[in-house]
Amino acid sequence: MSEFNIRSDSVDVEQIMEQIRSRIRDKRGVDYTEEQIRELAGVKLERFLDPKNVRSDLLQHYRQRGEHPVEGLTRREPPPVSESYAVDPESIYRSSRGAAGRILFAIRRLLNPLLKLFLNPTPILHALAVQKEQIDWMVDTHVELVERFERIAAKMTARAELDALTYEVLNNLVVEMTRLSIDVKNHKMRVESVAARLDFDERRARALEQVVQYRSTPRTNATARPDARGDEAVTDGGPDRKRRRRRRGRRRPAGNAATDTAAPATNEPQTVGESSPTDGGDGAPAADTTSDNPRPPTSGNPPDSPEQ
Amino acid sequence: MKLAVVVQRYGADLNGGAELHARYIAERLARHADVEVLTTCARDYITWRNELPEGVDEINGVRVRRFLVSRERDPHDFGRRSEYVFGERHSIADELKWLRAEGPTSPMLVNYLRGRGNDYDYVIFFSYRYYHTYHGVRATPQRAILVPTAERDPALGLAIFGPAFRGVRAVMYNSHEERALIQGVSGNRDVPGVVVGVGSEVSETADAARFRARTGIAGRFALYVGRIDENKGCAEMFDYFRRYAAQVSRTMELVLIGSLVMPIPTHPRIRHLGFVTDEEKYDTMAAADLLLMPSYFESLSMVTIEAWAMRLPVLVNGRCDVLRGQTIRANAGLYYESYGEFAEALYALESNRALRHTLANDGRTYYERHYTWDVIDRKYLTMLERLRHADRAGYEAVAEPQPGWLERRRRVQAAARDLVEQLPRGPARDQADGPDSQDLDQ
Repeated sequence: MSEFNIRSDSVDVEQIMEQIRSRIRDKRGVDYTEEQIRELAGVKLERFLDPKNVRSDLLQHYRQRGEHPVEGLTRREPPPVSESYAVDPESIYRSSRGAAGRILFAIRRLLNPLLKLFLNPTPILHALAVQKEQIDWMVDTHVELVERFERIAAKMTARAELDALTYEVLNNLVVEMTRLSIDVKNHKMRVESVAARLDFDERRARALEQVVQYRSTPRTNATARPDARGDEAVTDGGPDRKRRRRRRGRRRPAGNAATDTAAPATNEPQTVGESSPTDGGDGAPAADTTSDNPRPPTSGNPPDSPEQ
Repeated sequence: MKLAVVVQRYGADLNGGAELHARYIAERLARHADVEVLTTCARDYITWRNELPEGVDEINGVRVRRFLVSRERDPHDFGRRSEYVFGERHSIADELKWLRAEGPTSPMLVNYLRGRGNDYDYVIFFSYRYYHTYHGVRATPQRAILVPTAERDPALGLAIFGPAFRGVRAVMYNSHEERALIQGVSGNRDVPGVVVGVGSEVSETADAARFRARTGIAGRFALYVGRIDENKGCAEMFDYFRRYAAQVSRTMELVLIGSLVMPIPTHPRIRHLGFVTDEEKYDTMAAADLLLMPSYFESLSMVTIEAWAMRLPVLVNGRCDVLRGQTIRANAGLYYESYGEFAEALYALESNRALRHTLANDGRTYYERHYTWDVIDRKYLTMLERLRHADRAGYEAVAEPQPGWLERRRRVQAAARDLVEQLPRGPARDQADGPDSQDLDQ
């Protein structure tokens, strides 16, 4: 387990912080702050919308669309429909002057045969009637078009708002993906570490099994003589004792590796060794190796081993 | 010597940072000079509503003269104007309208300074960003001393404050980082300035056993003192601490003191004691293992100084330049910028007694050297004496003329937020923090 040392008589805060950062870097690869993750994610988003793959100014437009969704659109109302467009055969004789108008209308009707000597008003009336129908159709069409256009504009506005949200979601996704990729990297390192430990434990287990097999014959003899074990304990000599001592001598390094890491560190008066809460990666619980606050190792965080 | 202390609000029960700072300074200076406080009738810093009686009052032996606020703040209007001047190209006239919208708009106070300012030898203004300071400094340029209490917020980038920073006789800074910010934005290096801050008096009879008997908290705990507010970084602190409690430590608790602005997450190891007396606060500090200070924006953290006075190491938010700079200079705590650093640093402080004690001793030394009231008094009195010498030698302050009518309306001022973004970041490293390093000879 890596340690950082603090001389209790001369503390340098910046040095301690550098050691802490160095430990985090060692355990977790690269340590990113929230800002760095966002910056990284921002860079990736720019790459996602790379000018080589898409329009060079797409990102800019993409961002600006939400700000000006229907820029430059102003509604033009259709012209008011006048009743005077309604034309019938007697329209050309009418007058709007009340009672005098009615007299005038009667006089014009009386003089109508005289008028027809000079011109034929029927085609004129027909043309006016046709124009009236066309104008009515155009007004209806215009109103319908305006309504359609308003619906499309509303859809475009909604789409622009959706685009802004999509952009935000996309940005968040990229941030999270960045964070996850860092986590995956950390977990990969941790898995490798656990695999190495597992490999070591398997090798040690095999070695121990061989030792058991090797000792099986004397144990059989001991079983035959119930007092033999006690005799071995008190007997100072014989080949069994020599073999056991040699085996212990061989096992010692592995045994130390397993036990030393779980034991509290020595609290020296000048130099204090500390374990790390983020050993094992990503803030995982660590074995408490402090002299000041002795606690059992937290589960799920195996202590560091010499093979790491 | 007759002094005036001008501050936006004043009262024994008003505990805002700058207001408390002003009261402490007024009460300390009253031991050496005739001090009068000039303030408004407002109690609420959101609305500036007139709630206290106009006229002369006395608080803790200091004469207080209150003036009416002519208009309450309209938060909607102020917010709109803030967005405009902080984020858009604008004019000086826009900034003046913003200042008027911010308040506390008290023309009576400014008129009083204009008419009677010469009755005082010096006028000490607190908080650069308010109406009373901007107009008061212009009314009394020969006598104005400024305690800016500035943070890295967009208001610092407004053009109207440059002449105020350059036009005062002296500036009493809270920290080296604040000085670097203000000098960066206004170029007022020629103005005499000194890093002072505010003194602190802690209880010598604080008793950890009394705290443990009262609360039943027997184990180790980190302490947070202050308003429990998301703007103070508390949400992040809760998140980090919960992860730390789940992954690293089985015993460490988090104890909170202060009023609630945001909900506290339900957690068996997070305890809220509410608003406590000073004695209870110091008892809690005596029992704590460390102080947590998660705020992003501080011009001076009085709680941090109190913690050092109580021999308590601190763990501060490293993204706050002032807290980080102070912690490095004091050598009395650790800082974090991510959860990993938070966990490592908190674990180091929790588990390593030698480290805790060394940091605590360094903190106490730093407090005794810079933040006892004797030191603060001496810095103020030295500065006042120096200004007096200059006055006797015939010094005449020259106020920068205000731009003309047309000039004030030209939209040539850059967005304040952009300007502040360009200011130097990080702790001020090249400055000694000792009283010997005062820039009194500038």
